[in-house]
Amino acid sequence: MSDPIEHVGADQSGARAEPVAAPKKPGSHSKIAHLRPKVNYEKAQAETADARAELQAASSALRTAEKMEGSALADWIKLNPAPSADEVTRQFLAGQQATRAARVEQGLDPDTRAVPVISKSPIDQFAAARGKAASRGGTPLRSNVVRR
Amino acid sequence: MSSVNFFDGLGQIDLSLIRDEDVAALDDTRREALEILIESVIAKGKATERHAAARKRVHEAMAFEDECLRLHREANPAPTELEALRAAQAAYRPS
Repeated sequence: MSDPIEHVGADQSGARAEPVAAPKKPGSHSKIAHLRPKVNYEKAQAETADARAELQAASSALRTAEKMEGSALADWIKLNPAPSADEVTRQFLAGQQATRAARVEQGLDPDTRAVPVISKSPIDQFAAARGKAASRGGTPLRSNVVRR
Repeated sequence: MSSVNFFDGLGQIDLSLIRDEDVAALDDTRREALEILIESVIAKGKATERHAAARKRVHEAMAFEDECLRLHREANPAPTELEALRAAQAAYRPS
């Protein structure tokens, strides 16, 4: 289907008339929204600016609070200095002496130390339970290569 | 000398670790310093929360602004170079 023949005027001169703009009716508007997106964008810009200003203020307040906390902590540390090495040593020795005195009061040897438990692996426990004699039967723990 | 421990296992200040009997054993100077420290720690916590909320608000506002800008550009596209040229010509055309 071909396109219709272009109208070139009654006199066939080809001169086209200028388009006449239709008078705009008061209150009429385009069916496609143009203003609302623009207004929303401007509102969003203002909201972002407000949020950034609030973030700046919050950052400044946070830095100030951190400085105040650091200052207060420094003052607290200055009032409560850490114990010196001598004080720690004296406290440790005093604790030991108190433990010894308590053992003496209980009628015990103050210097008794618990026997250290060593070699308590499962194999060691099995070897200790089976006794010294290798002739009891079972798998000998001695190497058969050595016995050869 | 008695003192108050308010550091947790990670070295951070935890006010819930402060015991009343330790505070009662402090002298006036140390108690006053401890009160100032507690107030500053609480203020810093509030400032941290405010900062976090402000950052979240900025992120949300930026995302919303991006979406609004996209819709705005769809509804109101920027003029083409030819339209801008014609507008400039019309502006300088003597009438």
